[in-house]
Amino acid sequence: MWRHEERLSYWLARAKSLRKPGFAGWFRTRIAQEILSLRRAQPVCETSLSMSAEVVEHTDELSLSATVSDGLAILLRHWDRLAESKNVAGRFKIAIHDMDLVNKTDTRRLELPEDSNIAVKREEFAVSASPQSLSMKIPANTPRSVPCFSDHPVRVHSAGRNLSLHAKIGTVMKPISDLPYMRLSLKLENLKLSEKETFLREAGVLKNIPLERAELLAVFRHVPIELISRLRFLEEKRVLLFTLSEESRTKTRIHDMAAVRDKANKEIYMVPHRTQFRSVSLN
Amino acid sequence: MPMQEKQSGQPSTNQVGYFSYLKTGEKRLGAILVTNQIGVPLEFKYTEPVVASKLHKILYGSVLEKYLHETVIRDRLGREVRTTPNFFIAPYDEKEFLGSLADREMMAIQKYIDPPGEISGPFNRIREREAIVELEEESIFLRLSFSTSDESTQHAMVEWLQEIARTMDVLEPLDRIHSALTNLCGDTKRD
Repeated sequence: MWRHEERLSYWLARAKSLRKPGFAGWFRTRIAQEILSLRRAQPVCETSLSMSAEVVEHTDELSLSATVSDGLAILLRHWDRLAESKNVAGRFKIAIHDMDLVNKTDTRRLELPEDSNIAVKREEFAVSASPQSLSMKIPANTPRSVPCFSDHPVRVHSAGRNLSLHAKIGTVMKPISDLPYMRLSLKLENLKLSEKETFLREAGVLKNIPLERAELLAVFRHVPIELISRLRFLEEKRVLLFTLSEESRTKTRIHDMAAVRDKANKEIYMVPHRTQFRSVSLN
Repeated sequence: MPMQEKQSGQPSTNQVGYFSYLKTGEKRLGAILVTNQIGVPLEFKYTEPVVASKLHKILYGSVLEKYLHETVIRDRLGREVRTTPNFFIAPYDEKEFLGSLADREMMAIQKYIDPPGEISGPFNRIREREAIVELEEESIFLRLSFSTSDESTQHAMVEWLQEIARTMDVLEPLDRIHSALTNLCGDTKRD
């Protein structure tokens, strides 16, 4: 400030040699008024700068330019030869570390290229806040939105009925009705001796096998002898296999049956017990 | 032999229900057989082989076997039963899957060889759902696993079993069902 006052004094001192003496007085008065008005102005001011940017990264640099007027431009309105306005243009870059450009930005301190005490008037601190002066340099690798699933809708396949298993039902009797019936022999060692003897006596009565020649091989329970159409005894397994006739009955008798061998001729006879039976209703 | 079917909703003591399940390779199938009291078939229903796909195996995971066994096969068969047996008998392997079949209780049975000395009498309850039963006329013991833990129901089931054992070999139809299922599966191998 004082430097420019000195410069003004210099100019004022030279004004004596100007061609129009009456004008010098007026000019001196005018200059004094202007200086007084300058002194009343705030030397430094805070100014708000609002900027907006769509994409900002921490590594971006914000290029700014500011023009600071020395205040003498006012004089040019009166006499452009008397004073020469000194506008200082500053260009600087600000590394963006943490900022929200949507809100108001306060400029607290300006680092100008040269240290000078310049009266800065609010209205002359012209910062070009237009988008062009900010010259936001956007990197070539512009961040792009990541393709999301909604951009490419996923096709949904429905397993539908295939997800639950279903079993088809077969109702044909043939698979089971064609199978023979099978009886396993009781363990002879678990039979009472009296029961064994009764079977051997039955063999003597029904097949004429003397008791001393009869050999008890197997005993089966609950054999529906009246319904049997085919019968086979497997000696080695002591198993009785039989099929039933298709005869329609409402009642039948199931007998205990023994396999008895005649030791004389080695023949095996199937001997149903005449008294060990039970009547069964088939209804 | 005439095949008799009763449409009555009342259980018939003359009718004996059987259920069997067969898993051979990837195929699973099951059947129910209802016989009269000498083992003659009255009703036979079976499922066609069910094969779970790779997706089924992934989606159902560890419950696939149970789902196939109980829901897909047993429950499906249960809805098809037209006769009215008191209870259903299954092989002892079935004991892990026992449940209600056509609103009837089930029991899994096997022959119990060489019963220990402390077993005596016709009914020996050894666990909440297990018992050893003596079939009086044949002097053989059976090991039973019940679908219910209700003791009175278990007693009723055992009495029913002993009653039918007087006229038939209660285990024999299980072999027939297994043979039938094996034939239906087109596989002669037994698992």
